[in-house]
Amino acid sequence: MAFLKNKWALAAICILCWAIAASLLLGYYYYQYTDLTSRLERSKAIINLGIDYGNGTRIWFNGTRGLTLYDAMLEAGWKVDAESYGTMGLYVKAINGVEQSIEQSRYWTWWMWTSLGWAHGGSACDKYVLSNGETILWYYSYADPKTFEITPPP
Amino acid sequence: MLISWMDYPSNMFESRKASLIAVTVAACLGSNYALIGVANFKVMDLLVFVSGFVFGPMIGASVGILVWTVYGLLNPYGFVPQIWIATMLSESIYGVAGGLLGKSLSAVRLPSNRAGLSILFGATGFLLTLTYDLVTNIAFALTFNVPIIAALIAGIPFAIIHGASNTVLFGICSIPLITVLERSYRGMISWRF
Repeated sequence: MAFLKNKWALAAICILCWAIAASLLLGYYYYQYTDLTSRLERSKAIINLGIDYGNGTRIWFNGTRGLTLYDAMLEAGWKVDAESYGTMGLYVKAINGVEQSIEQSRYWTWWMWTSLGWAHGGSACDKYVLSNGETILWYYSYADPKTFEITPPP
Repeated sequence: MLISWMDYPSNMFESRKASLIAVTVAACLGSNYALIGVANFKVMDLLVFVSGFVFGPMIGASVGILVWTVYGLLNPYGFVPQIWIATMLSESIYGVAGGLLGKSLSAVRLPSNRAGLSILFGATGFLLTLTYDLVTNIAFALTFNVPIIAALIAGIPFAIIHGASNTVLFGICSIPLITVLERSYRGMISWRF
């Protein structure tokens, strides 16, 4: 049993055990991750997502899937420029190259269709969890510079 | 008549062997019930391994099977025959492996190789525990119609905790226990003296 005095052999035994344990943990967390992502994929909502550029152009992306509104926007293939405000969520500054304009007082806002008409979205798009069948429109709104009242979509 | 049977040297040896198994099984059972609330930490595996190391693979395997015969039947977590049989057989692996290791290390003086042996015993404990968990998890999956892969993956965190605790126990406690047992049962251990 000469290997009992061989430091390298003993180190190899330790590394073997560590490698087995690490591989098992890796397998476990990989399984957990894939299981979670597949369950999240199944729980994605299907919504009607639209964008109105404020110049008469309104495009609908019906049947868009997403967990949050931000997911759905990316799923629809939009180019979104947003700034993170931490726990408050994302503030959208530009969509598909159309940037907000402080001079013209035009900002991107999102609206949800209700039985009473368009209702302003109450939270950041990445914080809003979608439900099946919702109709959501991003509108390049005019905001009154004095009252900050936002014009709803027509 | 019993006394004259006991006086006969070979019978004396057999009866000492039987009492040895009984005492080790009792120690395993006592520690198991004492640690019933501590999940994945049992001294039993170490005791079965050491009994195999000191007294040979047959006694080690017997201790493993007998401990689970009692502990599996009188278990607060319930009794499932298939898992009971699987645990009995897989616990005996500790004893058999201990016995085989004991024979192969018969020429080694324990105190002079303490560091190397501690690492060897720790690694052996870890690998044996993984084997034990593998067998019992497969038995669980087959018994309850759970996919084997899912059962094995779900059991990984428990196997790691079980393996880590046994690595520490085997690494630290094996040599003192073996030394004490060898001193106490010097006449019974043929291959180490």
